[in-house]
Amino acid sequence: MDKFISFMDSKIAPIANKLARQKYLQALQNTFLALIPFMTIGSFALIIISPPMDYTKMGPGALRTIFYGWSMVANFLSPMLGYIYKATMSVMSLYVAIGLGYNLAKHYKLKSILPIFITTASFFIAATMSSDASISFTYFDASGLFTAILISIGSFELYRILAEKKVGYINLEGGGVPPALTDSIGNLVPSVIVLGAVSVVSYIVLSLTGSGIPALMAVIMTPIVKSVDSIWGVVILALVVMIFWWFGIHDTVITGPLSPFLVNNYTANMTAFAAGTAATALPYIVTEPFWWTFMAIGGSGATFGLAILALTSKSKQIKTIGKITMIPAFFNINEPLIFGLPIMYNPTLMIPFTLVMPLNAVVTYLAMNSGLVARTFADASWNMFSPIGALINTMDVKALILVLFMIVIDTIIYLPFFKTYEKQKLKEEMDAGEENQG
Amino acid sequence: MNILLVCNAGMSTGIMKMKLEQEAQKRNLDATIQAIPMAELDSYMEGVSAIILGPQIRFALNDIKKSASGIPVMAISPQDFGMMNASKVLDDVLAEINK
Repeated sequence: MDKFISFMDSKIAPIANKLARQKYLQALQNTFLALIPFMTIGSFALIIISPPMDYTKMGPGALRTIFYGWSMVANFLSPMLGYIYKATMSVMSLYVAIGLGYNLAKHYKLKSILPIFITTASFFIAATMSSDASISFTYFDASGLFTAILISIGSFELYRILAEKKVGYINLEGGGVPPALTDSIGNLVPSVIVLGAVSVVSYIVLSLTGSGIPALMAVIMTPIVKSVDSIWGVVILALVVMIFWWFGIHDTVITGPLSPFLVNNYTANMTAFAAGTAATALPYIVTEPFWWTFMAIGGSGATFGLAILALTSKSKQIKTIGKITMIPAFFNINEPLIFGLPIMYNPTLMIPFTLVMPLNAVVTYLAMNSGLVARTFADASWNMFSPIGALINTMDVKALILVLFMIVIDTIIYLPFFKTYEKQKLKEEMDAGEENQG
Repeated sequence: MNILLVCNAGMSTGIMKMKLEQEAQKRNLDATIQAIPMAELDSYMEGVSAIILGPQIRFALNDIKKSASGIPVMAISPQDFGMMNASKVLDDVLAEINK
């Protein structure tokens, strides 16, 4: 075990560092972080205008009155909220292009706003180009996400390299021109080259394949998206994440690169739901809320039940941790538990800790795959208490019951391992107590 | 004194931030503590007296030391973080600053 630990620390930690500090991943992570409010607003706008049950098909009673009221509110607010939904979720990829331009410019300490214009214009060209020369906004929603990421990074880097090498730089300094202008006008030639290059590449792809870059990206990305959205894919990913956490290493190493896929799947579900697809028949199962609400109940490793066990422990040390960790557990934060109990490097707790979250993935996957529980199309954010989050994200009461059921199962699995660990701790505490007396 | 507390999303260190603020107040120290995500660290570095990392991102310690150009950087030990032992963490930070 010691060998394994020193191997992880010496070999895996540097890789983790490289990945987590990778500039494109950081820029993407910052962009997604900044987009959380828009995703939440879009989610709630969509939920409010889509009552989950049709009151006209319900028998009389309080429930019918509630859904009648809901549908009145929905009809009244629909025109306004519909536009909010369209301005947030339906143009999500456009914001990703803007955000990547901003965050990459920030990384390179470029002060001008021009790089943001460049990535946005480049995405615009790549996403809208069509064979009949008309402009289509189809790919501004989640379906253009991978294109937005690729084109923004590509166009930004090309621009940055050209600008750094001062290719065609127009020197206006000393001519009484304001500094903001010298940069923008000075980099006219690089801008022309970048936009020209994006147009040419888009046009070539269009001529060769008959459809633009987004359609080509979809073909390329489909196998990866499919494997993430499979029961084996999600189980393997969850296992790796939990092994990292057992070493006390943050899951960003895995979930960082994974997040574009989870966001892609969740927003695609949202688009499908908004277009009238039933929540049980949405295109994807494994999504951002699938992972954070259904799998990581109480935090990575599904430790909500473990937090309760710790809180009610007879061991003083464990109970102290339980008190620290119980409230954060409601918001799916469990670092105090991982480092304080500790779970990190703890051989007794390793088995349940690494297995419970993949198990939740399997249970939820099967329930959603069979149509028993609705799939996720909204995201109440990863900090939402999981049972409530599950209800909001699917608008299905059965999802709430499923999460409660999994909390019980998870706790039962943790229980024997926890008891063993508690016994060790109690013995240590008793020995220490005897020493003090003697 | 301006202390940056860094973790992956700036969430779990939020609890530590509160505890550290209470601890600093108890000692009559004039300290501002900010909890920030690692990805945004670069834009916060100006005028900072120390950077402390949550143990979950301790792998980035050397890297951040390099880019911190002389600002003291340390990682909170897993035990201190788990027990939310703010008094020990503050002692360590002060020792690191005065080194």
